[in-house]
Amino acid sequence: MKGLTVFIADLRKCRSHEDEEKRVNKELANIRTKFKEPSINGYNRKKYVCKLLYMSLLGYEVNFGHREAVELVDSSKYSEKQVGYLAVSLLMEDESEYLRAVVRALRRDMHDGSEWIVCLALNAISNIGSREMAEVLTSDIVVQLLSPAASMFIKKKAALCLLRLVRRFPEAVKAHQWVGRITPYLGHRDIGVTQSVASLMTALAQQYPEETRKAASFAVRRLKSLVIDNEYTLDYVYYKVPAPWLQIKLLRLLQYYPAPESSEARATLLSILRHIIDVSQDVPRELQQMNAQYSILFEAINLGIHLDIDQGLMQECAVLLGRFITSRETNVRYLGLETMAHLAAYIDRLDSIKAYQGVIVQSLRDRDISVRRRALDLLYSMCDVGSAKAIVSELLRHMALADVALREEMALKVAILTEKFATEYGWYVDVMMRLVSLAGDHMGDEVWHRIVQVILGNEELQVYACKISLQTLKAPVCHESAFKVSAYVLGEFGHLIANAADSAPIDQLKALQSKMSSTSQSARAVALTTVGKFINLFPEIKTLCLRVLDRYRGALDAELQQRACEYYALGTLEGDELLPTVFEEMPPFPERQSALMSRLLKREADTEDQRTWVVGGREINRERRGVMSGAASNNSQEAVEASAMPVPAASQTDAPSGSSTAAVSKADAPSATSASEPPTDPSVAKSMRNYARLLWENDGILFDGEEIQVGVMAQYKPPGGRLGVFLGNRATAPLYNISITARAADGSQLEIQPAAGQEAEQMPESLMPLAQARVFFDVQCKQVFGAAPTLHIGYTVAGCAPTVSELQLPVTVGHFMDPVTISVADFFARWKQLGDSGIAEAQHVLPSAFLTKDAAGLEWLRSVVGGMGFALIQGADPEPNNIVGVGIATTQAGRFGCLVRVEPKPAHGLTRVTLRATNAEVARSIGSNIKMVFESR
Amino acid sequence: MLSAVFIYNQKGEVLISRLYRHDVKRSVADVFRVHVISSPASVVRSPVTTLGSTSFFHIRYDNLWLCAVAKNNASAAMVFEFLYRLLGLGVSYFGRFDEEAVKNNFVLIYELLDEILDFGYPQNMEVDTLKLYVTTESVRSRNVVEAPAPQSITMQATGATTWRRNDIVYKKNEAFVDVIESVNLILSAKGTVLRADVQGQIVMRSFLSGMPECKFGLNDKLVLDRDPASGSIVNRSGGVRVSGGAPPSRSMGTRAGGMGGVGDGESVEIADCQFHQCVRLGRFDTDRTISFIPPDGEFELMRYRTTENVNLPFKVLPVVRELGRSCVEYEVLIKSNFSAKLSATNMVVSIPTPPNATKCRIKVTGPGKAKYNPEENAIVWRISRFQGLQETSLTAVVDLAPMTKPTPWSRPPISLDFQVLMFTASGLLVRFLKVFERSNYQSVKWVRYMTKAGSYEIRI
Repeated sequence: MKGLTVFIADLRKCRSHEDEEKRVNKELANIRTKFKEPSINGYNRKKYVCKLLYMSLLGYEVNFGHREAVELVDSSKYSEKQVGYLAVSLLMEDESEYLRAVVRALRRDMHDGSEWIVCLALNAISNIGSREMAEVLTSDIVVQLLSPAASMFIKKKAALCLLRLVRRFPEAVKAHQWVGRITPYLGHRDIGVTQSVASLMTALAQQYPEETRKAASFAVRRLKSLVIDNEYTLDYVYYKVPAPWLQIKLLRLLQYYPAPESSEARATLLSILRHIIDVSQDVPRELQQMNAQYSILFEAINLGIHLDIDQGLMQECAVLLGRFITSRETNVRYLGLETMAHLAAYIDRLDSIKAYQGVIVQSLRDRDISVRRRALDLLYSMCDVGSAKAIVSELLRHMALADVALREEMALKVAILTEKFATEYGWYVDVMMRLVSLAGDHMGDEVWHRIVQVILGNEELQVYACKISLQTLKAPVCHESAFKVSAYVLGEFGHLIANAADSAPIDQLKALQSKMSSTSQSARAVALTTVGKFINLFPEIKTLCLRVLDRYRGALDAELQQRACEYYALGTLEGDELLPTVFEEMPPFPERQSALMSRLLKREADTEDQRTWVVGGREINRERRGVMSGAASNNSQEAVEASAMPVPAASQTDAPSGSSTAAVSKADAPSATSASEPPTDPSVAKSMRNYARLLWENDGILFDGEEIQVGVMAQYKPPGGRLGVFLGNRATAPLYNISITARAADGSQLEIQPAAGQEAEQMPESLMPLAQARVFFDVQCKQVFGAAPTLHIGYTVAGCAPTVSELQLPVTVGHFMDPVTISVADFFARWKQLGDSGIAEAQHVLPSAFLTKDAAGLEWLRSVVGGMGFALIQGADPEPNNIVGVGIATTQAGRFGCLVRVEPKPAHGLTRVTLRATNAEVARSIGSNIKMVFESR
Repeated sequence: MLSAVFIYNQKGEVLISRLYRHDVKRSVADVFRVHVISSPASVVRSPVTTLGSTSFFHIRYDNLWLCAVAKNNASAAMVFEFLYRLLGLGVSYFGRFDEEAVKNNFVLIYELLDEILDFGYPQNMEVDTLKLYVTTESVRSRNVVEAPAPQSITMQATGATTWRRNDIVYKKNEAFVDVIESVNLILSAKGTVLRADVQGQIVMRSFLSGMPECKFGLNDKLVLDRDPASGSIVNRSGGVRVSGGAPPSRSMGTRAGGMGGVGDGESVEIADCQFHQCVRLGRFDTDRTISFIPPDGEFELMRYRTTENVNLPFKVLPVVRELGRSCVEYEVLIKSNFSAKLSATNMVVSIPTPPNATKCRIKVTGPGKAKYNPEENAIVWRISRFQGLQETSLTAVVDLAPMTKPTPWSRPPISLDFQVLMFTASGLLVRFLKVFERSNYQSVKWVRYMTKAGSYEIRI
């Protein structure tokens, strides 16, 4: 095609864009006239379509010639057909009207005798991949793939073509109809076919985990034959590594399935992994061999982490990875860090990774930005309470040096880590303020919004936050986001520090004003609101505040003007009711998913294969896995919320709600439950049940973790009692530095102290595995109390940071209650009498599905009410199923009678519980106990 | 201020690279090339491109790109003034300022760049002054003896009239005045004027001895209206003329009178004007007289703009009908609207066609030839000479090819290009030009008028 060559040469010669455009316009006009002629032959048509293609590739709009392209497709000559398909795939859009004709031609060509034509058609389908093709042609492609007559070459093409359609229109290809027939092809003798099918299966496995279940066993068999039995042809050996791409694909495919159930399959899989790891112990000399071998190894490690069946293997992997992240090859470092992040996301003990913390921090300074990113991910994943401070301060140090592209992510991750692992309020505020000042330009508003949310939600933080805020404002330079946080915090809690030196209201206002002029509109708007709040908080500086507002009443910005005018009007209003109402202290924000997390998780590309893990700690991955297997799908939302809840916030969630009743822990040890972990974690649910059980039984297990077990044995002689706490070591290593203390929420209401006459040796220095230690506490109930006392258990497992678990002790007012038997008539007289007063009544309608199942439910109900310290009065109620009981709670301050009436309604699966007592707190407390017992049943 | 000056050829190769400050690296030249010159996306380019914290100001001339780089917030107007001055320098030094000239005069250009910018601040850029001490190699060697003493250079560069040497002598004292106007027009499809204005330029070439003081008079409405005794100026100047012995200019009287009734006896409202630095602005502000000591050779005396009472030289009456999707019909009639004694030359009418045009059948009645030019997607109609008060018309039928995705035609406007000699669209006239010199020599003055098309567009 000389014309085409000349044309391209002409365009190449053009010296400027204008010249080129002129030449293109001329050629377009020429082609238009040529296409108008009726007698154009195939050769010329092909030539002109090629020219059009070239122009289209250069970026010029080609708005004609599609018909000619379709005509070429219909031609019988291979070269014309080829150009035709090429043009169709490049020029046409999905909605083109000519596509129907193309589909017809494709269908014909799919069944053509010539292999080359079929191949062209398959190529065209994968290149265009429109919905219509997916709907109409999928069956034909599947036929080609399965047909025994088709050559290997066609089979490969067909598999890849299907892959493209599956990725683009997963619903249009109806994969469930044919996926079962394709799965056995993973075991095809031809490695090329297997490899193409493996890619296809990987895509399908993400959408149809059930239908493709069999693929796992095929993949394992195939891997075994490749890796262990060495069954392959020499064509597929790449630098001494047999079929590396196939190995990688199969290993990756296996990551979409859970570990096989049969021990035999597990053993095979493990032996394959071990073989791969063993082979890569010796470093190959040649670069290509190294690449191939390493990529298999990394995929194998990923699979090993995913299967999570052999801890020994994992430790070995960690050591191997440690070697890689110090490698001189950038690629190896990158892969090492990424895989280590994966490992950190699943492994139970982070010790093996923490050994490399120094190296990883070094990697933040790597020459290559992608390595720096991975290092950041890894640090983020491996962070726990013990290492949080070190890692966060390291990240902050790097923040100033990091490139702009990385800074936002870094800031986000620092914010999340700080929030998640903060053990001291001061630290949290300090770090966040520093973060905002350092990286304020590079992060969204979410970060400072979150800081305000956390501060508002935690009373303990507020005073300190105020002090820091004022300091920030007084500093010579103050970043805008820091200014916003400070302004907001002072507006809310400025009064808390108003009496301290140098932070009188006037100082606060001055500090605010000094920075106000140099900030943006939005920051000024926040500051104006703060000034408005000051009017309410500090009436003594009202005139000054009003002066500031007055100045902004003429602001050009509408938002500022409006705020200033409204606040000014409020401030000058006659009555003094509206102002305090408007500027009332903000209520704590409802707990919700941290915007930071969602922002971080948002960036997952959608085109590539789904990742089997995400960067982050164990909880998030566990929870993800839970969602993937569909087991705890309805809990997942809750889980996300819980995991996003900051630790400081967790300790103040109100008592009777689910997770915090069990145990509140700030520990990182896998055994200790923490409120920041999802309640799907079995140990949390279990310990909640344990706690509830101890509300009506005196002896039992309070907490059962992987490292420790805590039991409680109680004897009550109201108003006193003795509590025995048993600590058992369930770990494989001894525990050291054990301390067990109990603390009442309010010492004036409840006194709890170690029992007198306890010998010192009862608290041994170390606790061997399976050994037990006990401590006794004396309890004295002075007054009616609401909050249960807490038990603090501290210990160290060899090599780990000290762990402190905080558990709630099952000691409530209800425990200081003695049964009292009274007559039926008496009961109803009291019942009425208490009911008339109306104050001391608690009523709950509780779902109790267990009642419908069997009669044992009622029996259980009786034993609960009895166990709670009520004397059951038989036959008091006309309805035989109803239970009524009487008890007297004894405190040092006085005795309080309490009546209970339980009305089970098995038909509705509901139970109404009514409590009437001579003290409102007693009724409320016992009521919530019963509620909890019901919930944990 | 400027950090660097680059000159590129059309392909984007750097011909001249001169850095003035350390805040940019030499490699910023590549940044500009990549983002502006070689970037195919931006056909309509902004003359100022800010990439990161660096601003690039560029102008194009012939096959050159002149680019100034500033890191800080430099005054764009100043930078462009500088670039155009640089261009002027190049033109006056080398005759043509193109790639060839730049390549042949590397040394000289660097020498000039050293002279006109100090640490990025523009210095004296007056051609005549620079020519005194920045000379080509050969000239310098010949004129070694004549080279002015450094003292006189200092005097020259810092004195009152930096633009003129005081030792110029001509045998024949002549001054040429060219009034060049370009007329811009946008006419709606219905024939209403959307925009019409004239941008004028008065270019003077002076070949006068000594230190002549010139006075220049236009039919400026402000002068004529405010001062009914404008005749007194003539009288007074007439007196001076007698004493100065300068005869009335032959050229002025006859040619101006021949201007086909345009602007005769009328005054013109000049919207805004700019002067060469030699004009004494103080006097212009007080009594609007234009007096100056001209530089030697060619210079642009003033620029002005008028928006009122524009005499449009051509009337265009287009009719364009789209007949379905396959055909467009054109009927275009053009009438000239100036004295029959004058004529327009090099007239080109470009009538745009739809982008899917295939074949055009064109018929012209009257002067001119037209043909379809697919490169520009237009019918190009050339009329080499078009007498005043005449008319010509064109009819054309254009066949269209079917489009895959029917997109409506944007109907770009018809544009005209032309030159009319001895005609001013604004009606401006040079009333007098007087030269006073100590030696009272006689001088000859010539005036020429020309109107060109700026963007003369008629929507269809």
